[in-house]
Amino acid sequence: MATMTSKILYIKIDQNIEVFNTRVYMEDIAKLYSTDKKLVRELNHQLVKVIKTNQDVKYCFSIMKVIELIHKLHPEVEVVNLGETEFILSYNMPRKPQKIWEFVKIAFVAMVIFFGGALSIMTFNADASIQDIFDMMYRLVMGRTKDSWSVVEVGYSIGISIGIIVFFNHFSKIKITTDPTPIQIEMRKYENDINSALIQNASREGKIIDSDY
Amino acid sequence: MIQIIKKTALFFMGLAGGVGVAAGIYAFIVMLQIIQRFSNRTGTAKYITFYEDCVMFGGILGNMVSVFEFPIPLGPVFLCFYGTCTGIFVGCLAIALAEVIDVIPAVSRRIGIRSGVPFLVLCIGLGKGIGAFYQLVIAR
Repeated sequence: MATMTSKILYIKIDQNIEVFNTRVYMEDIAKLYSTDKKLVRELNHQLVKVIKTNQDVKYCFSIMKVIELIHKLHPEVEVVNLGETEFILSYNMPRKPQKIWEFVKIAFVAMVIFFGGALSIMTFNADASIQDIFDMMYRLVMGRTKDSWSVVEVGYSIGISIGIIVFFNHFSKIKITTDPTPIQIEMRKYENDINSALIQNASREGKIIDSDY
Repeated sequence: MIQIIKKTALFFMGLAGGVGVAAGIYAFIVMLQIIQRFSNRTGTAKYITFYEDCVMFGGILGNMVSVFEFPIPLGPVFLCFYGTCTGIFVGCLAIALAEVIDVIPAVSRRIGIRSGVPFLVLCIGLGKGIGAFYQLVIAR
């Protein structure tokens, strides 16, 4: 056979890739698939970037750079991109886990949002004069004024607990459904926003690592 | 008998009200991405379910305190700590609210500010701090 059929290489890259080594190989950033297993193995061990810095750094890459790199080695391969067109390579310095510092941070955040959550409910209750409304409801239903707390307040407190647990979809380790919790969803959205902002900034400043042509 | 029916009706009114209020307030907090921000800034995003537990218990206990008004005799150190924590939370809430409706980007675009946004943010922070101090300490 004289004619050579071109091989197809499928490539998939996530939007944000975290690496901990200064030498970044193809297998660290991309998922490759081809019918030619040898080709995939060879490309996986291809060096993509050497990071020459001793601090945390983020690079914006274009898929073009990766395709260029592949074509330099195997010009006959046809690359099909199934992932992002631009992606972020974040290099994190390998550092010793600081257990105590992390514990302090978690305790701090936990305290702030614990009291913050308490405060938001209390400010709502005060804002909406919930006590007056309960007094009125009690008077309307029972036909007399109440002197201290009653069943309405008990019901309200239980309702608050149910509402919160249903909303957050879990209670400590016990999950109500297998869906991710609202904050997990919002966290992903937040991270996507950060990624796209980083890529757009890099693109505006012409800092995307692109093919040389 | 009629008393029990009335009391049951009241109980369910409270219950339904509580469910609605809780979902509403927490949807608001989640939408403003306060907890996400804290966990992202401190690099502790994997403890997010623990943070959710914290905000849940905070809400439940806070509501009980405000409805039943039971005493919390923990002294001035606790009050100071409580004030700092709630201050940080409300500060984030206020700025997040402004950010959701794009106040800072809109204003800086209208006036044509290209640099100095960090200074702008510092000024907002200081302004809020001084304003709160004046309202709560000096002008009372």
